[in-house]
Amino acid sequence: MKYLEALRISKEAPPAPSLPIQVAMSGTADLLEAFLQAHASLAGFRAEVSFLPFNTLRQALHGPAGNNEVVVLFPWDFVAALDWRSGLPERDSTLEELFDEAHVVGALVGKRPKGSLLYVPAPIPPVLAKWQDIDELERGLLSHATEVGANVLDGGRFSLSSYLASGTPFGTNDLSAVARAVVEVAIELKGSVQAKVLVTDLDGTLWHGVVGEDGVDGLQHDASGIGFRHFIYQTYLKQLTRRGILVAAVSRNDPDLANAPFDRQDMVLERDDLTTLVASYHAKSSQISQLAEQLNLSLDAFVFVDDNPVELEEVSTQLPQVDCVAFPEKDRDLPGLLAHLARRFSTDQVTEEDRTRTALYRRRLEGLAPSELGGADLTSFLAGLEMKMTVQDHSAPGPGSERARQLINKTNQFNLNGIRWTDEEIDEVLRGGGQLLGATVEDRSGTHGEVVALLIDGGGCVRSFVMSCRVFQRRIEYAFLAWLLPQRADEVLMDYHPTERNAPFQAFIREAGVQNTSEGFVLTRDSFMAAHTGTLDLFRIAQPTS
Amino acid sequence: MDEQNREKLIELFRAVLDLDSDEAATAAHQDSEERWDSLNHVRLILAIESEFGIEVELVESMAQTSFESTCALLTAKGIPVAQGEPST
Repeated sequence: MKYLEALRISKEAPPAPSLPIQVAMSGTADLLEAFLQAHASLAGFRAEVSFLPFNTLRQALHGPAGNNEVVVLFPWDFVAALDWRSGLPERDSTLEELFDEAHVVGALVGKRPKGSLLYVPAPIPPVLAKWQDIDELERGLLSHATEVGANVLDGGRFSLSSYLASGTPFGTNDLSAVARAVVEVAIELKGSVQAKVLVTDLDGTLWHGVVGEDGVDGLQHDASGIGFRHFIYQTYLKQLTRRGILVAAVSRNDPDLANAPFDRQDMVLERDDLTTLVASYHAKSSQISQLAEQLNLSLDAFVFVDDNPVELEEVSTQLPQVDCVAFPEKDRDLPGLLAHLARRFSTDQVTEEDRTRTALYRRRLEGLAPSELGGADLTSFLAGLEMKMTVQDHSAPGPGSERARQLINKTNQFNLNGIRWTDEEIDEVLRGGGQLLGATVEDRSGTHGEVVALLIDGGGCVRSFVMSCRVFQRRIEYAFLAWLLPQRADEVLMDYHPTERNAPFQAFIREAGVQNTSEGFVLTRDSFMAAHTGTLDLFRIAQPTS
Repeated sequence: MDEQNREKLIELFRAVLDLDSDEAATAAHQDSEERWDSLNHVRLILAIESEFGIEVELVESMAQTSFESTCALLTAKGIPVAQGEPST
């Protein structure tokens, strides 16, 4: 498949269910996008593709798996010294040391969802003195990758020239085949992903009858007669809550009316078994998407059960990621429903944490418990990178600032405002008492070059602040500011503007605590330092050189 | 054939750089087109390699700074591209 053909296929594809694909790969994966879209379209899906920032796979492996994540691994993801882009290491390692590193990474990789791994046995550079050891390392890594559950792609798909030129590890002619393999994995994962939340309708589903018409006394949910299958359904939901599955109820009804049957306390499923009961006259799709947002869970973790085909269609149209299942009209169809739910909510074991999950999430919805904490694992990983930041002052006239100026004019994502600057404009700011600062970063695997640039004018306003996307998620931007701010006034004005492409900077603005005031966007030194001074511990900082 | 190649190249430039006219594509220059950033440059080279079945070396890739220079590269690789009207 050629590039334009791929674009045409996805452009002309009819509406289709969504297929989330998060490609987790250490190299540049963006070029796969057109082919991922096309192969998903050919398979009857509409791909929602996302990628990890360049060279952040190891950090990502310390966190939870992304939505329908497909991890594409190379030998250097197991052993960093094997990365062609780093050149050959200065220090000789032993085969044992390299395998030790591979096993540490393998343990992390092995925790990813089953069936989500692809391994590309690309050629490796000769990092060991003995040729037989190199061969053993190559075979050992392949074996290790399959042990942790990876499917193996043809190593010939790797292209060194493409990897060196753009960071994309695949040759142009192989992108389509790789994309097809990734889409196949994503489709398999979508079908087998464990659901986390069961959202049930009430009238006609949790009980027989309509509470608004039949009254609480008219509802049937006992182990007899027409209510029998609702009784069995309730006992199954009760069992799910004991296993840590969240069960929520939605109803297009008055809240008092929807809660009334639970107040009688004569049902198997009690009010406290529910994470929440959402009763309003909003569309059920809106109730469910709001719930997903509050619980901070992706919509493909939701299964929705309702007896009304119209409600099911409304939700499946608005929220194609949600698995919509009909509550049967006949007893004979009940086993089919329960079998489907059993597959979607399958668990290997139930922990103490699982048993208390409903209560935890209920407290979270009530605003009494914090959401997920940040990853201590990631901090420890970053500390282990032995990063060194060297700050450069390019304010004086003369050569040496080309890279900083280029960064300002080429960077889109982590970019304060997207404004491009000519050399003359920058020089004018510098003549007015401003500063142009840059920072180079190196770590134990080598140097990343100059990756940060910041232009601040004589009045103390940050006019440009950019960082290369190849060093995302290393807390470099925070450490850089933690170094800079103690030398500046209490409050630093930032000429911030959101753009279509600077989403990472928008996230930074929120996390860094930048305030939108009548003066403009202001970063307050003391509050920033209180929250982020710890990032300095992740780096050795070398003072400005000019 | 030359004209078809030119049309194909215009389509590639428009698709990759998200340009709204053929004229914008043929006038595209890396220095003046904001959307021609480093990632889109790589996309452009990939699209050209994929569509015309050629390999573009790193040094050749770096020299591609305009629609016209890309026409010249293709022609040099045996894929003739029709000359357009001179841009004004």
